[in-house]
Amino acid sequence: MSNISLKEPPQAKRTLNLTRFKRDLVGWCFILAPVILIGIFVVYPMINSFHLSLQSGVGRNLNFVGLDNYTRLFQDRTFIRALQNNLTYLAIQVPLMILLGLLYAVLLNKKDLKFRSFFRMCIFLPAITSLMAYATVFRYLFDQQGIINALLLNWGLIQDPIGWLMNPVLARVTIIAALTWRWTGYNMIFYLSSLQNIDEGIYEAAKIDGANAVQAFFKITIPLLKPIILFTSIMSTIGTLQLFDEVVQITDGGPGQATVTMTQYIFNLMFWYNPDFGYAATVSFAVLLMILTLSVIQFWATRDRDKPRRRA
Amino acid sequence: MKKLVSVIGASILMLTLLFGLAGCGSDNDSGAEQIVIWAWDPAFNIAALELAAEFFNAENPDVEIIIEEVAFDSIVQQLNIAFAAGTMTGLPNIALVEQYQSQVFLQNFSEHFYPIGNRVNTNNFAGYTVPIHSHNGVMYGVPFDTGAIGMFVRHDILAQAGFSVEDVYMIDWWEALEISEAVFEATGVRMFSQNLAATGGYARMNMTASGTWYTGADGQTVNINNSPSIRRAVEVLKEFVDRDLVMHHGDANTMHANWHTSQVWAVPGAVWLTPSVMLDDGLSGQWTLVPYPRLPDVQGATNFGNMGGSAWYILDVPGYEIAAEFLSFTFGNNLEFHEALLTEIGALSVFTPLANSPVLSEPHPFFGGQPIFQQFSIWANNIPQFNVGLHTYFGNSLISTAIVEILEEGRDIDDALNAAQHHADTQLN
Repeated sequence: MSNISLKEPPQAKRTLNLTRFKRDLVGWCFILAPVILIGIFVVYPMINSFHLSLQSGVGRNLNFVGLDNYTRLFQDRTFIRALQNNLTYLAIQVPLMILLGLLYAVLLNKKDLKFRSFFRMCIFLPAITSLMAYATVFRYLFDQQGIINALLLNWGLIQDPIGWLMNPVLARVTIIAALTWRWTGYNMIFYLSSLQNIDEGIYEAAKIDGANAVQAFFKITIPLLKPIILFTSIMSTIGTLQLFDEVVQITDGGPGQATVTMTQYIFNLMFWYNPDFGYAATVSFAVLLMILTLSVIQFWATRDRDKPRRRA
Repeated sequence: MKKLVSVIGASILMLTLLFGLAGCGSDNDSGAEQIVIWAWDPAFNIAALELAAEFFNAENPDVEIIIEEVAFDSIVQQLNIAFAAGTMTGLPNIALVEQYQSQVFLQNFSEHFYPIGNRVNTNNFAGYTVPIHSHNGVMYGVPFDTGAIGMFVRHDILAQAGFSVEDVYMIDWWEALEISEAVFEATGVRMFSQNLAATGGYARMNMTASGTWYTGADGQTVNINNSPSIRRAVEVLKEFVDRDLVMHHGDANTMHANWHTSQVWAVPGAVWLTPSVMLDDGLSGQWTLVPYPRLPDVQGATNFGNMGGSAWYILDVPGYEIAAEFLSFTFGNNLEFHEALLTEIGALSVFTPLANSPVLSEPHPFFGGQPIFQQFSIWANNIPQFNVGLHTYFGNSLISTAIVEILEEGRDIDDALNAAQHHADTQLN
């Protein structure tokens, strides 16, 4: 091999490098603009807000306090409450929603189901309603004198109206119910579209081999949907950790601070309490760190263990 | 090569365009005779502004007054962002600021406001409002509406239980509890409607009536567990809830529904609730206004407190001189204007010369001829001074959390208030 390259005239190699350089330069120019823009509008603010998170004080009178803000986090009852709330929503709502979404998707993928597109539309419809509008409706549904209580009273299931939004636990249940209603259809669409890409032949072959519907679901559907399940669970995790609108509109973080989320707490620190931009930045970094960690765990847990055996 | 040049050219063009856009903010140095004002309620403070513009334009026809409706939350956010960024571009000449936010702005960013105190007489405003809107002894905001509190009661329901309006006049909360029990027994009607998930308003009314606040005299140190007024207010609320004498509401709509469907016989609250109480014409003549119940056995407790109220702040942007002239001509010094505010819009201001105005003593037909605004105005002058300080919203969340813990999770009162105090101590130092 080496003696072949030796025979090549050096001039040609230089021209080759030059054309390659020119070609690369065009590519670099193309990505230069986004790199600069991302640098200015994303990277620089991130670095700057990290610097901000090491300072404390009110308004613009900030002093450098090192890691004090980060130790303050662990003593902050509201932050811990918010963190617990986010994790509660995450642990209950995300699996619930993904399972429901999968179930709907599989049911609605059946070729012999009548009014299929009508049902699909019904389940997807919540995903296109305005966040504020649906949250307001949920607030009224679960009001002390709301329709949920009216129905339960009417059916004789309860004696006195339940204070859904007044009790810390029930208020969280309400938020989870609302989130599930709003986002299940959205995730279902992803599953449905990838279900339609699964070759019918695989199911037929499994049937011939004697697999029942449950086996087909767990041995064929779930493994083939794995990338999309991973995608939706990461998106839902991020969405839940950044939850803001629903909580603000349904309970405003109440009763007391029982349903407050981390993003709402950041907002309160910035705009409602005496503005402490440094500490608010610290909480933002805590959120970022958690999203990163959870995403890495999710990638790791659902990684493709068969990959090394795959032929190129 | 041509391609390369065009690509580089295009990239540069794109970048310059992007940055060019960011660079060319409006440079409003023309000194045009116009001022921009932000307020949030078309039925109330914006209506008041329109009236003020009318008054001002009658004398100064060449000044254009632009009134913009900006949501209450949005005003706070936009001012905070602008001050933190150190840029005043895009801010109005005058913004309406709620009293709980005023010290946060003044103690952090007073250099961005124009001290109107030099242009208007501070004696023109109810005594308790002046320190709220002042910093280092200078008044920055022109106080607008009063948040004087009272209690609207349904004398027809009281009569069914054998009580008269005199029985609920100038009472304390334990007396109110006794009457409430009797009324509930006789009629099945509870006393008042309260959002038990957010009880900051209830706490503030009782604290101001006792001349105290979440913070001590310095406006900085949060005092929750050693405050007799907070403790008593919590005890009172717990007693009312335990005896099932309170209706819970989730928001203003259900609150109004509770009032207007005769689920409650009292509306303890501020003067600005008057239009809401009047929403149901069918109940005209059934409501009477009495003073707010005072906290029992608390030193300095009165029947006169405050909830809410706002002031006009001039921002240090070009045109502040015209803005100052506008405010001092209307809200700052003009009795005729304040009379018109009351008669045309129903807005009761904290303007003290109004006290002697005949407009104030006019009987109010909805309240059976009772001159309610005069009463609110007299009570406003009796409100003990209190220092709102910096931590009102933080205090609200502390109190609401403690009350939820006490009512819903069965936590001991001392325990919950100590936890709130501990939270404040660790977070504010």
